[in-house]
Amino acid sequence: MTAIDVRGVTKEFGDVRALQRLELTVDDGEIFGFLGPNGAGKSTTIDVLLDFVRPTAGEAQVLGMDAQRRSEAIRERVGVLPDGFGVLGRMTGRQHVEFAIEAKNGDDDPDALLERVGVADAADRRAIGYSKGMAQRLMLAMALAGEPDLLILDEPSTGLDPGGAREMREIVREENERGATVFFSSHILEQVEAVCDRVGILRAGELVAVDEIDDLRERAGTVGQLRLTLDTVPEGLFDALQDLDGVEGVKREGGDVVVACADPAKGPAIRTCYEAGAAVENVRTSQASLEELFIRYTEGDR
Amino acid sequence: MRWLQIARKDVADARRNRNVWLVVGLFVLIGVGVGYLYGDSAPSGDGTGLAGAMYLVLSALVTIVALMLAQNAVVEKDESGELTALLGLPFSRAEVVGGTFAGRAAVVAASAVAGMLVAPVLALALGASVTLADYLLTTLVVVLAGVAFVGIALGLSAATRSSTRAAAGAFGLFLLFFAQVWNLLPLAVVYVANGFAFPESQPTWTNWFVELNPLYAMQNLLHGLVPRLTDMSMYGPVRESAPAYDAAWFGLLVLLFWAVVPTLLGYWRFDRRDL
Repeated sequence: MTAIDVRGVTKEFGDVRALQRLELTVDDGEIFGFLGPNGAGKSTTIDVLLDFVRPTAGEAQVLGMDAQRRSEAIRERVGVLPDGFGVLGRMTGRQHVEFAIEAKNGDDDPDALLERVGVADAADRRAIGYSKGMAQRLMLAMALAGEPDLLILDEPSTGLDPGGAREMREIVREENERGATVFFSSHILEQVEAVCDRVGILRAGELVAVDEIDDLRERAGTVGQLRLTLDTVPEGLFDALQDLDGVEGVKREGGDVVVACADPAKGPAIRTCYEAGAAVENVRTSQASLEELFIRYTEGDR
Repeated sequence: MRWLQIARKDVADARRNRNVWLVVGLFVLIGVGVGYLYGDSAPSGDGTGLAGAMYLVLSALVTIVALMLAQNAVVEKDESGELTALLGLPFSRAEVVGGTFAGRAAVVAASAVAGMLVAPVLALALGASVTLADYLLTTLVVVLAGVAFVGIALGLSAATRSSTRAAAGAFGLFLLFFAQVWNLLPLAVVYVANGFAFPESQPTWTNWFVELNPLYAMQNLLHGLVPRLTDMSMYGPVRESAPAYDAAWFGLLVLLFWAVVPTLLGYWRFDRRDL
């Protein structure tokens, strides 16, 4: 069973292409981290899953149902923490949760849910006076109502302090153990790293990497960086470097040429520079962290 | 039946809204004032006077309040992000629009009824005579007109993306119907179609068009239901032998049209757009 299946979804807002033939599959029962910098299209993807926006091309399925045609049936079984939500009128925290439970035909205890997300103290206050972090927790409580099969959380840690972010991850784990699939987006790697089984990295509307977190970490270990200071940068050097086995990317940074590559490719890279007619004045080499891998995926020239 | 949950929430929101209570207070105050004056001084005999007086004062107010209360009902939720929270739950957009319509209509109807019912109670207590059947029919017409304006303004609210634009649109509707710009539209069309000159006599369709103004429709319906209130004609002339476009059934039809169609059109646009 697949919880989420996005097939070739393109979304254009006027001239802006937010998603470009996005392909994405999330399996039943996994915790999937959806990573990418701001503006990469994470929220647009989630908006398509929830039928908040309609794709220009392609289609998406959630829990085996068409995201556009069966949106209500989908949302009956999905807990949603959307981006840019607002509180419901002048309702108190408890009224919010009761409202969500009623809408989902759930039988949860509102106070237990509020307790779980840590806003039980403010249950009788109007949510309009909540801080950003409290509103975020309240919305999570609403998402948990009715024991959803799938949780879709858009930047769930927004506005939370480090302690709150940890509690959020705890809840994600608990829900997953209960049997729920969790799909959440973030632009912060460590939050994803800590709980996810699999990670997808989105960049400019395209999925540039999907992998299990361990494999990604392994790749981060093997792919390092070679920073070369050359006297000149001959024409054709970048292409020659790019063609080498094990080279993932080449870019200029300041006066240096930075080559992202596996360790065995470092020697050939230096030799290529000499062969192209450049004198290598300085060589620095480093191992990339997962963070760097993420940054390279999302910012570097590929 | 999820729309009912939205409607109940909308009513609950209104009950927590001070402006709504101000409106109810104003309506009740008017009811008390008119009821007292009528009960204290009106000659007994013709019991329809109270209905006429209340109609004269409240009908315009109720419709304007309906316009104001409904014009931001959807767009405000869009801007505050409340719509995102609602649609994260298993509500369809139709349920959100339909439920909001039902909720606002109930609030407007309840405020109008509160004001309308105070007056006869007070007048009767003071010993005046009130023809209750006429009075209740008048109340019904006022409520119906209020609901029609909820439908018009809610359609606007669902179709726009900014509350500033919705407010401007509501003011435009006010000019259109209350300042009777509506009546000038067919004249302008005839004027242009006739080569920038007025013809000898207006074509019949212009009469039909003018009576599509919901305020005229309200007047026509009331005239049909309570003929003795004829002299209270605020909106448009009431003819002795009414042509079809002045008939009560046509008025009712027009009010129902305005209650339903604009909201459907607004929903149609709302349903098709990205949030």
